[in-house]
Amino acid sequence: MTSDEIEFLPKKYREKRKSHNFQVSRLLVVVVMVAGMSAVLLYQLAALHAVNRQVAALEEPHERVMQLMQEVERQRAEVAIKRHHAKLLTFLEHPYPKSQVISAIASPLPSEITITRLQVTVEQTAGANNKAPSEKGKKAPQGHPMELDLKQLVDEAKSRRCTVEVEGTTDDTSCLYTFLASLHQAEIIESAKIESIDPHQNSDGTEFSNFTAHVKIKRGYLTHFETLVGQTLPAASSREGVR
Amino acid sequence: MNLKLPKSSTPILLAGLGVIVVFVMLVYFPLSRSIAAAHDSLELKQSLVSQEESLLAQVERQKRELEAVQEYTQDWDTVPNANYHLSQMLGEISQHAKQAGTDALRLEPGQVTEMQAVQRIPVRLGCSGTFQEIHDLAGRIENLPYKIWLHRIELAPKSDQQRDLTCEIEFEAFIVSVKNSH
Repeated sequence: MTSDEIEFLPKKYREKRKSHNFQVSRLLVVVVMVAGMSAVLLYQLAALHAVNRQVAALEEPHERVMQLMQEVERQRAEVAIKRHHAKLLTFLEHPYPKSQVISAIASPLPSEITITRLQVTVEQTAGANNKAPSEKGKKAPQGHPMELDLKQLVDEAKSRRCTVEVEGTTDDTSCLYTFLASLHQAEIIESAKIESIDPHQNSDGTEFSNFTAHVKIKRGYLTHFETLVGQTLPAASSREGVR
Repeated sequence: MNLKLPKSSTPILLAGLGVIVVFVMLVYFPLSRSIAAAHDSLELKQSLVSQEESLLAQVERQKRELEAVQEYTQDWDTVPNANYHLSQMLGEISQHAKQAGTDALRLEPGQVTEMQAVQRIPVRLGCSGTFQEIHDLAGRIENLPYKIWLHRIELAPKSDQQRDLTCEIEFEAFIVSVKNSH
């Protein structure tokens, strides 16, 4: 049983007390609200400060790492340029030795055969497109100058083929066929065939034949070059890096 | 429990709610965003800092690679002057032609073609000699410390009576200038 129910106090006093209680509770709510907001604010500021302190502590190593990254990038670019240089020089340094081509054909020459003309040619294969890259499209080629040159040279080499035209005379055609068959044994020769045989007779009545033969030289594979360069020549398969 | 608030408390309640909303909008969210941004920055920096060792290893690796490539390319002379280089090369070919025993040497450098970094110079060489002499000369040209590609070799008898042959060789000399090698 409360005093309100008994109502001994005068009405004016009761209302005053009621108003006082209400003000106290309002004040309490305000205090709680302000305290809550302050607590949240302080917590957030403390969290921000803590994170900022950690960030500040990382500034020096971060700066060091950024410099290292720049150094890595600079070195990477330098290595790339040097590698282009090395690849280009390596490619230019190792052409297919044409003196060996002549050796392979003329060294085992039988006495019955006389070569009257020999022509080693590196010629464009049929269907090969020898247009410069700038002519194919309007867009200028992208990349390091040495990389572009190497690509152009590799493309040119891929579209070329070494062949040998041999003209001569023989007084024994069977010997000529044996000779051509023996050429197939040579490692660098892909095929050797007679183009024409023209029989003639000397004034003393002995017979001889003029002949023309066509020899195809195998494409060269520079394995060590491919190992070095293969990674940067995605278009050139390992069976095509040739000159 | 029946919670009955007096009518006079409504504006106060609304004001309180307003203060909370203002606090959330103007203080809580911006600070939360700042904390999140600082966290992101911290994580980014931590992840970068954690790469220090691998970056140091990369620097070392690339240094070694650079040394290896430089060691590989140092065998080739750099070419400070293309014309001087060409003259030197033709001079050496001429000497080798004499040593090989060939006669009537003719050297005709053609028009220089400029690639992106490389200059290519076509050269026609004419001479006469025996098969062995010419073969020797071709081998010597190929073994010169220059970048030379033989494109065509044509051998034909000088005359029916003589053993000597005339030889026409077409080759291309490639020059990588110093300015283009770095």
